[in-house]
Amino acid sequence: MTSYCGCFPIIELPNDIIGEICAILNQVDVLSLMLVNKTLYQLGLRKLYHSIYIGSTFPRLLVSGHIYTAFNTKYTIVTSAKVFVSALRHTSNAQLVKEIVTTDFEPDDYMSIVSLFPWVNIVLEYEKSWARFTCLDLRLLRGLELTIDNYRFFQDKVADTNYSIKELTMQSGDGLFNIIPKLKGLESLHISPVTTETLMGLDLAGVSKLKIKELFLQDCGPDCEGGRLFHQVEELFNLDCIKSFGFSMLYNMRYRDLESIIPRLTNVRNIFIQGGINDYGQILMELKPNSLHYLCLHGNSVYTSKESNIDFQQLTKIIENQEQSLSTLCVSRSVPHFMKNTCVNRFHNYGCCKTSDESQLRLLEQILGKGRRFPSLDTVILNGRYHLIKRHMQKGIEIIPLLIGSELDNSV
Amino acid sequence: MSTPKVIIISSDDEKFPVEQKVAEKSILIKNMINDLNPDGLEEDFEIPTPNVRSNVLSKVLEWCEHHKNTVFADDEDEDVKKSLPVEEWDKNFLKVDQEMLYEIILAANYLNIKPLLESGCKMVAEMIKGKSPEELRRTFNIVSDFSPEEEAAIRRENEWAEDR
Repeated sequence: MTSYCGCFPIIELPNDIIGEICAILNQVDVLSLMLVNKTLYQLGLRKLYHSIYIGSTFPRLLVSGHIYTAFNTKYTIVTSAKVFVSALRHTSNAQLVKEIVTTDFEPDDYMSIVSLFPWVNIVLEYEKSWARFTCLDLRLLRGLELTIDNYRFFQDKVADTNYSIKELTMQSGDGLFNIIPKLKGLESLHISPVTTETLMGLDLAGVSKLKIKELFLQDCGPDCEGGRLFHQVEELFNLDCIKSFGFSMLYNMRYRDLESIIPRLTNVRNIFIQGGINDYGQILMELKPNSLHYLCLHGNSVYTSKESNIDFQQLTKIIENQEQSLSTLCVSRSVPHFMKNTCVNRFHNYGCCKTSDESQLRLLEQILGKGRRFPSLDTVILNGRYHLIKRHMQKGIEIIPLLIGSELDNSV
Repeated sequence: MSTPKVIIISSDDEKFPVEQKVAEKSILIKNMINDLNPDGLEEDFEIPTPNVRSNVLSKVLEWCEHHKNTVFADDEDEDVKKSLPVEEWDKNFLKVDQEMLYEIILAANYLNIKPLLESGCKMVAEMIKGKSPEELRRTFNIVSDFSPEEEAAIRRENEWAEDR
């Protein structure tokens, strides 16, 4: 046996295990690891180049060394397709690229990526600018924002295209629902606004045949209230399958149907609720303990007072049942972001962040109980102020208020 | 008659009799049991693990015992699973010195105990997160074998992926 002089012999772990470790690091930490020595350089290189995400709209926050989500541990995120292409044009490292996912690209950039990586199957993650579709192979599309403006384009193409769209954000409208029967692999549906007619339209389009895992009902109208929304949602979706659920209402009222729906989401992990005067403490208590990872409550006047201070007692009441599992908590008086689909799975986009204040830090310290409570909580956003929580093996917890530049204002 | 046990033998010849259910947390052992006893265990069954020392094996089996009734979800998306934090019990269980952590990871890999391997890897990842190359060298006692020129070249080469 080798002697270790008390230090962790990471280098002596087999390469595939170091590979596994790299797989759970984001690009910032992989880059750091690569500069340690030649062995780690080679192992990190593979991870860094393997899966690339190119998206010009992503804010810098996403590539921060502090942020860990399934998305940014999987992908190396590049914000400029041009920089990426010119950097990789003259290096053999380009051959390490196995997967490229892109969004919001220019047709020119797209073409140069295709020609530089002929062996890679490029996936278009999300697209809303239909004019650019004319030059593209629509079968590559994974996510789509369908609007009244672009749906006619799809209407014409839909008959002979085999879509692999998993994620759909759509405006309500009769014609628009016609695309749904073509999207057999749809898993995520975000729809706005929601009226009883919307739900009937979805029913006719055969939504109940799909296996929806993420459901976002935005701007629900008062006509859905009184049991109708609950019954229709229950009929259209298998509520046991839903992992992420988002809901917002048009008026600031108590939405009783929501109180029936939430306890039925037996496997939900992520919840977004915007507006309303419901007592969420009560509703969320009915969820399975320690099952929620992500909880976002916006614009709820019960939990945030006019002074923009969040009441510790009330907040604890909502989250104490989820103490072991909760990793992200977001509570704001105003609404800093919509429940946009792209924000849900991949990262949490909260727009421009203000400087944290003393009262918030105290509140957070109170919630965390000096590191004894909420062991999984690593991201807390209180009234638009973003805090990361780091846990050190010896030093205990550290609350890092994140300051983000004003460029985020433009990207949201 | 008592139920037959699985007796796992460490590299230094210590014997660990455990319930079959506990031993089968290791897919390697599970497959061995099934291959050699297609009709089920009728008597105690000895399995040598020549790569695992007794102090490590006892630790690994403590984990298996604790998790003998845990059902590890398979349906979970691989990528999501990677980003989830280490479960609280595992985290405390793996608060050991670095050498022991290293040996537990190797043993979990050899015995094919995926959830333990994953927790171990995540613990190492936690030690890496947020550190500069220099801090990483100190943490893991690694000497750089790059010349300053090589290091600068690497930085240039991968500039496109930096946090800007």
